[in-house]
Amino acid sequence: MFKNNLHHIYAWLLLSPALILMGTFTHIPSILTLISSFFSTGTKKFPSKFVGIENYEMIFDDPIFLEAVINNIWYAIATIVPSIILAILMALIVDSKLSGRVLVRMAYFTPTILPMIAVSNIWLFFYTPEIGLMDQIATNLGFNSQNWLGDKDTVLNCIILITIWKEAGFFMIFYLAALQNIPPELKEAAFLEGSSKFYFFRRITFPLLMPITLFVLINATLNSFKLVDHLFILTKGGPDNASNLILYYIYETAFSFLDSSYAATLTIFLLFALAIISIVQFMFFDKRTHYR
Amino acid sequence: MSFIELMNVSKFWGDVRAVEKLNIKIEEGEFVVLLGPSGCGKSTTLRLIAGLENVSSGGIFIGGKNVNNIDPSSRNISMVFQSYALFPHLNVEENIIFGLKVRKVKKGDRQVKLKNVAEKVGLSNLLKRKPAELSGGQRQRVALARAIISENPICLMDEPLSNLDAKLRHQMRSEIRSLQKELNITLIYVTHDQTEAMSMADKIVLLNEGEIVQQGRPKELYEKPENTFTAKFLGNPPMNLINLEVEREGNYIPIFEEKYFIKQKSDKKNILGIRPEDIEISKKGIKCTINDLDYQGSDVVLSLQLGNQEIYARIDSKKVEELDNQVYINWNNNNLHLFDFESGVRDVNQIWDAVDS
Ligand SMILES: Nc1ncnc2c1ncn2[C@@H]1O[C@H](COP(=O)(O)OP(=O)(O)OP(=O)(O)O)[C@@H](O)[C@H]1O
Ligand SMILES: [Mg+2]
Repeated sequence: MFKNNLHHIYAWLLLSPALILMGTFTHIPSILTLISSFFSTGTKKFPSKFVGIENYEMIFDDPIFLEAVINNIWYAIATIVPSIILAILMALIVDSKLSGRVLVRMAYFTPTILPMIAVSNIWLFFYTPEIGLMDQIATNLGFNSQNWLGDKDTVLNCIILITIWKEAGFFMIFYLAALQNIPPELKEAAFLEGSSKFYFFRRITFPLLMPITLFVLINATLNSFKLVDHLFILTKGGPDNASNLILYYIYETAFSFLDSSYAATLTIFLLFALAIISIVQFMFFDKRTHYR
Repeated sequence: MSFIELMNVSKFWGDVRAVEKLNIKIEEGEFVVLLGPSGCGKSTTLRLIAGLENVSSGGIFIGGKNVNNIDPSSRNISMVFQSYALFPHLNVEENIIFGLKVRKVKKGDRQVKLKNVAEKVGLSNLLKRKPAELSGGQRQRVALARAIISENPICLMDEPLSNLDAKLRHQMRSEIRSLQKELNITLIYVTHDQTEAMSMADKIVLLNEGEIVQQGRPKELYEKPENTFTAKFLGNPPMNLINLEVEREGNYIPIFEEKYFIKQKSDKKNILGIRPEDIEISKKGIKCTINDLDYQGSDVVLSLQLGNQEIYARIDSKKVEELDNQVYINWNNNNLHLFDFESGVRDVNQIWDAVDS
């Protein structure tokens, strides 16, 4: 009995560093966020008080939040689909017997290892009107000079391009690992039967990559709602909220408008939305996925 | 010209020699086994015939036509891989008819063929299972079914039974053999198991280090090995090879201070070969001591000390009881083989007298 107790004490002692860290920085703040979403933001004159679901009702009358949500949905779709397609294509290329493929692999992966802030500064320069890379190309092709990041119509797509550029290389690594796990005999067996490369990809490779696609899809979706670093450098959500995304809006609400309760409410809302999206994706694709 | 012919076929990877100057002739409907130790180039030869690798030099002919530059899929060949190469996400049925779908065979025809083949290999009630839900033997059958449903005249198999247990292997051996005869397939079969090769093959091609050592019917290879490599490779235990010494009077077996002359007229140093089952234990002959007994059921393999060399004898296990530690061995001179000591090549002019005792 005594020995058993000692075991328990050891176990808790060993768990405690992780528990304390997780508690302090993850679980307690989450719970506090949930609580404060039911209270008003306190000021000197009006101390914080319980307001029930009033904060949540506010969400639906908030035109800027709505715009951020619409922006974010477009941002998610327009980044995820192309970066998955690109990632598969790049993985297929670097998996083949290309000479110098190690270099190509590294080149594809480089964007991923660069810090987002540094990347944003590079792209800021690319997008600079008149002297930036984009404008140089555009004017050489006979188009008019553009203020890429200053124009409501182009700004979000410019941000999307950066994200695709950065994420595709990252996802490629997962696809590459999966491709290298597919035994080469499968390809040989299929080719002996007269299968074309495309037919083999459609019937064999792509279905076998499904678990990776599911993983990448969920990750990419979460990322698209979580990534804000580049907005700080590039646009600050502007012009006129045209590149405002949900998390950036939450940040602004909390730290620029100092309305921490409303920010907490938005956070909880986002959390639930993401959980539901992940579950739906998982259930939808899990049926079509073959795990080894 | 034979149905399949390899003419001076070589394959190099940079400096690595996989096979060199292979010449093989295969008739239609023949069961040919490529046999040899690990790394001797069996798989490479098979893959060259399939077109999965290109030859470095030489020519491969199928039906009289040079196929060096013809795609694997146009060579009318099907193949069974050692790992089976089943598509893990497709069920048994989809795996078997994969090739038919590629070739756009009509659904009705597909189902008829599927039913036929599934019955033949005994998979009829497993068609909806995934490969992961099958036993090793069942997976093997799926691979087999996929190979024969295409009705190609040629089938290649790379160690198809090596992942199965001994009993199943035995059963599959005869099943493959009878399928091959029934469908009149020309089968090229790779194995490193000499028992498998002997029991299945119409013809064995024995390879070592990328070169053909000997080819012929199993009986020929067993009874008339052309060199010491073949002699050592076939048989279990393999042929005894006894190093002889030479004097003016001829070759002899040195047994410490004594000399047992092999009366054959040769003045160069030779190796004497004798199969374990051809050694008789008798009242007179050459004196040996028994080192060890290996009981194998109906037979016992004795390991005998002959001078400073060790040899094996296979005898009826009923006779073991009577044996002392000291025995005398004898043999019929017709069962002796003689090989040149330097080259290992069989001495074709073997002339024997009786053994001295
Ligand atoms: N892709 C390759 N690149 C370089 N060398 C190779 C390659 N494939 C095979 N070899 C070499 O060629 C030789 C023959 O190989 P092969 O696979 O044909 O042997 P094997 O007889 O099938 O052996 P095992 O019984 O072990 O399967 C070996 O020395 C091997 O190392
Ligand atoms: Mg091999």
